[in-house]
Amino acid sequence: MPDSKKYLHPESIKRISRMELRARHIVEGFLSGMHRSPYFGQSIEFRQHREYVAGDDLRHVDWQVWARQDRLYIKQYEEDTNLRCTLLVDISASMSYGSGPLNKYEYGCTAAASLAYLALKQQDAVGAASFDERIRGRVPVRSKRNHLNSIIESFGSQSLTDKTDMHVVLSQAAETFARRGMMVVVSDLLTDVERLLQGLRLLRQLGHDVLVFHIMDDDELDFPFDGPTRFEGLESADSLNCNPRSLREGYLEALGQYLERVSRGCAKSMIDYALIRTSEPLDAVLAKYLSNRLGMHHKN
Amino acid sequence: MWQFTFYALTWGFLLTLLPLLIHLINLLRHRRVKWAAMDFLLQSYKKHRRWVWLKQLLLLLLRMLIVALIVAMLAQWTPKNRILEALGGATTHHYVLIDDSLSMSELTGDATCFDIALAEVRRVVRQSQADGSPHRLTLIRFSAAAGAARSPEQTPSSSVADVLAEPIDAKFDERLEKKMQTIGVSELACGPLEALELSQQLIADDDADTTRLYIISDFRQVSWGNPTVVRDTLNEIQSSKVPMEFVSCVRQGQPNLAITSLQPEPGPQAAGVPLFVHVEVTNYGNVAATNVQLKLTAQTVDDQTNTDPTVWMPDIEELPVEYIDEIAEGETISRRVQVYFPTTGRHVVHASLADDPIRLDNSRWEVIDFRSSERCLVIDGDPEQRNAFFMQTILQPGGRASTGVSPDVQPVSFLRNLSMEQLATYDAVYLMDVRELEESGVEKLMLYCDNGGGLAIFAGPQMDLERYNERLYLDGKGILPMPLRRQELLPPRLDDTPDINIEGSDHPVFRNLLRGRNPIIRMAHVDRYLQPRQDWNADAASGVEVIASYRNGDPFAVEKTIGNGRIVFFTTTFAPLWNDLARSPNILYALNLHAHVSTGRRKRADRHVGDAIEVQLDSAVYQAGIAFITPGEEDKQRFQLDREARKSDQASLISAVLGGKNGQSETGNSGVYDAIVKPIEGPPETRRYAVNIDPIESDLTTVNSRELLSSLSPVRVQWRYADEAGGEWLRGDLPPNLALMALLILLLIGEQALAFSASYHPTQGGGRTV
Repeated sequence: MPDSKKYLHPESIKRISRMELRARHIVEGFLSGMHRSPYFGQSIEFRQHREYVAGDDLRHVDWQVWARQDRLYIKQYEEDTNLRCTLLVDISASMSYGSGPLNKYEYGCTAAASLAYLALKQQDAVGAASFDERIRGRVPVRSKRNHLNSIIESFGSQSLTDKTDMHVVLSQAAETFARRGMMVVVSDLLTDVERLLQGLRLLRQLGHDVLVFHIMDDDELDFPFDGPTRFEGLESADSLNCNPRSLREGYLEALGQYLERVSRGCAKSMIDYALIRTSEPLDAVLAKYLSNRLGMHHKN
Repeated sequence: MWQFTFYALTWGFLLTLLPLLIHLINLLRHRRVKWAAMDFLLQSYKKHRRWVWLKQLLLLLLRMLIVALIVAMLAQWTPKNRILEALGGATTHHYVLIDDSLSMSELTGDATCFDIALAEVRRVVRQSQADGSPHRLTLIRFSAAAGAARSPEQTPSSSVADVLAEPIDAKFDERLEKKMQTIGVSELACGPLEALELSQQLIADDDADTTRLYIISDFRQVSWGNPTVVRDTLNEIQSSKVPMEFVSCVRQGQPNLAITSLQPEPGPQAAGVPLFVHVEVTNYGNVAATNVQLKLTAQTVDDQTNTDPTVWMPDIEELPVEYIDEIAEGETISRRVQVYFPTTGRHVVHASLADDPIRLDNSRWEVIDFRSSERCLVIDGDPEQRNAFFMQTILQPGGRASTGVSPDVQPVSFLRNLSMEQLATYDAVYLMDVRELEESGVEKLMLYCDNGGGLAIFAGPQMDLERYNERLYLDGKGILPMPLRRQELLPPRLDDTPDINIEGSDHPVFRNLLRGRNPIIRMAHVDRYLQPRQDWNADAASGVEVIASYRNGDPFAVEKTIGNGRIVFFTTTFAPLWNDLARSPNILYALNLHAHVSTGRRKRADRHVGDAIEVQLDSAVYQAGIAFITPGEEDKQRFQLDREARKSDQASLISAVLGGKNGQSETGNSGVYDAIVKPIEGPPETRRYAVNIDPIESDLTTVNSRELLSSLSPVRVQWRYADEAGGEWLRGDLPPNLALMALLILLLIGEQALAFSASYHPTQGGGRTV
């Protein structure tokens, strides 16, 4: 099956195609579009007055103010620009776990492909990178329609090995994709929390609008195992013989603390965080997320 | 502590290693899961490692314990440990006191009360067996306890019980049935006191954890009407915290008729002389009995020709049936029936009624010793022997007529050389106008009367009154009933008042003289008599009674009782010297007199079932071996018991005893008993005895249960009728196997919970087992 068919589910695409992928924060772009640009340009939406300095375009001088106050002020307008969306997809070994039809990696890739399709459809530019402990593959940010195949193929060409180191990965991503835009992290985030939050904060500091799709399997969230079981680490050599129910309470407690820390850290850095179960229908999840985000955008 | 019914199954305890083995196998059979979130898992493991290990260890031990418990149950473990006994393994000892007195033979439907009582015992056993915990049973019959109480030195209390502290196990039924075949309702009259006292002793020495006492009886008024007798004993038992239950085998007593007496009337018991027997029938019911037929038979046994004494084959003469129209409730009706035995011997009279709820009290036996004649000694002081003449005339009229009395006329000197044994062969002695008696003679007569001999003293002109007062009256202690003053002439008759006033008297000596419209006693004339001292008065307390008087009030006849003997003193002559009695039909009073004074010789108390039959023999005449022939339960069935007579208190006598202290069961059946004694020379002799049931057992009136329980207060007793559902006695503790079962269930629940907690069970809705 071609990767484009593999990760683009018609039902999901059909459902979200009428949605818009809106940048929540000001992003950098060069095409006029639906996203607010950090650059003040031609726009109908007035933003502010600023005192004239030498070199400013005289076309932006507010002559009405000069006539009343005899002072030169520049009129600045909000300028819509196109979105530069970068999809960072975790391909570490832990993403290979899955109890349903899709494992976390497949689910994450599908979600990323759907977002890429959506962005390209609204003429935004999309790039992608896959990572484990570091960035493994890059697809430059483009807004061409046929760019989607390149992105999808990049997801399918990776092998699921090595452990995730989010700080390194996100630092590399910040360097690689220097222009401000939307950074969508698709991962199970099974890494050191502090390192993860450091990386995310770095992106925010660089002006990126950061979205985190935290992909978790139902087993990982509910830990429903029974009977004597030997758990072997996907990203480590650790193993444990146990009766899972006896550890379930402690496991869920540790997981809850971890999720709480991630959630709070993201909120603190104004990062959109969405915990997604692989059992949930992807279209519903994306539709819900995008509609929420659109609502938040209009509020702002 | 470790007692098992099936020891072979204890090998099953090796199965306790099975859970350990399964656990070890499971360690090798872990399912593998490639897991991403190992960090959280490891965190949880580090935090709960000890608790997880502890739960697993507990689970393992629990499963091993469960297997061990199952094996213990299968092997029927009987715990002896106190702690485990608290779980329900305590031993319960059932003391069952069962009433086997005659009244328990009452038929209710097809079964007797005793059958119902035995069924109750079986029920106790069944319930104990079903209970499963250790039980023991002690069974004591009232009669056995009563017998042991009679001779405690011969019967250890522990040997009285039919079943003594036997464990109620699977084979107990067999043993109990065998035992029950050997016991039956007795013919004895016995109450509960002795059995209660015995059980109190046994309970005091009992080491059982729980003790229960059952008294299974018919609770008749005669035995339980005065419960204060047993209250103290019951109170003592209750103080030992022994629950008690009264189980009544009958709800209400049925009407019952019984023959309560069968005795010969006073009179000569001689072959060829008719004899009246007195029969009494009592109605113990609460309704009148009508059309009662009383059957009597005269049974003759020729002991000389009977070769097998164990077979009761007498010649039976059925006497005319006595019809009694009605016997009111509680009333006793008596009948006189004449019997006639032409030959000598110890003959039997048997009376019977139709069967009713108590069969055995419808039958009564009497043995009467018919001799060729009764002997009386006549000593006449009249020089012309006129008194003796008239006495002989009336006692031996001659021809075919026989009174059954043979007078032996002897002079006064005859007493001097007469031994006591010789004197004892006389049924009565007549002293007629004897001048005086030597002291030795007085002593012999005194002893003779004391032993039941009869004495009649007639006054006369020859008597030395002073001597009589001195030697025979002895200040009221002698054989003369009254002190003598002088001869006195009876004043001439001035009206129709008879000389001898016996009007209103019902004394047997004069009873016949009052019959008819014109009693012959009125024709009697008395001229002279001996007057008593003026200061003398008949003292009933000392056994002296004036039985007839003259019209002037002076005594005509005075009677005195010494020991078993009767003495009658007539203040006038027997011969027609001072009166004309001997010349008229009034002389017949002499026959009555003989029958009356000789009664003491024949008098004996009714011998009831269980009483002793003592045979005394002169060792110079008889051999020591005695063969007792006892009746069986069937009419013709008899058994022989050989006994050796032993020395008694009197040097020349040897004696053997059947029944009584030796064991009341030896005389436990009513009927005719024989004692065949063997003289050193001559053929064997048969002594025969009648043994009858005690009539008090015929009264079937039952006590009111509420009144009984109330009168026993503060003793608390549970009352139950046998036809009511029982089982309340069941001990509160659980039986060991049931306790083990309960413990097993608890352990299984705990194991399931622990196993679920330790993740050995799938969750509802299906857990991921990968």
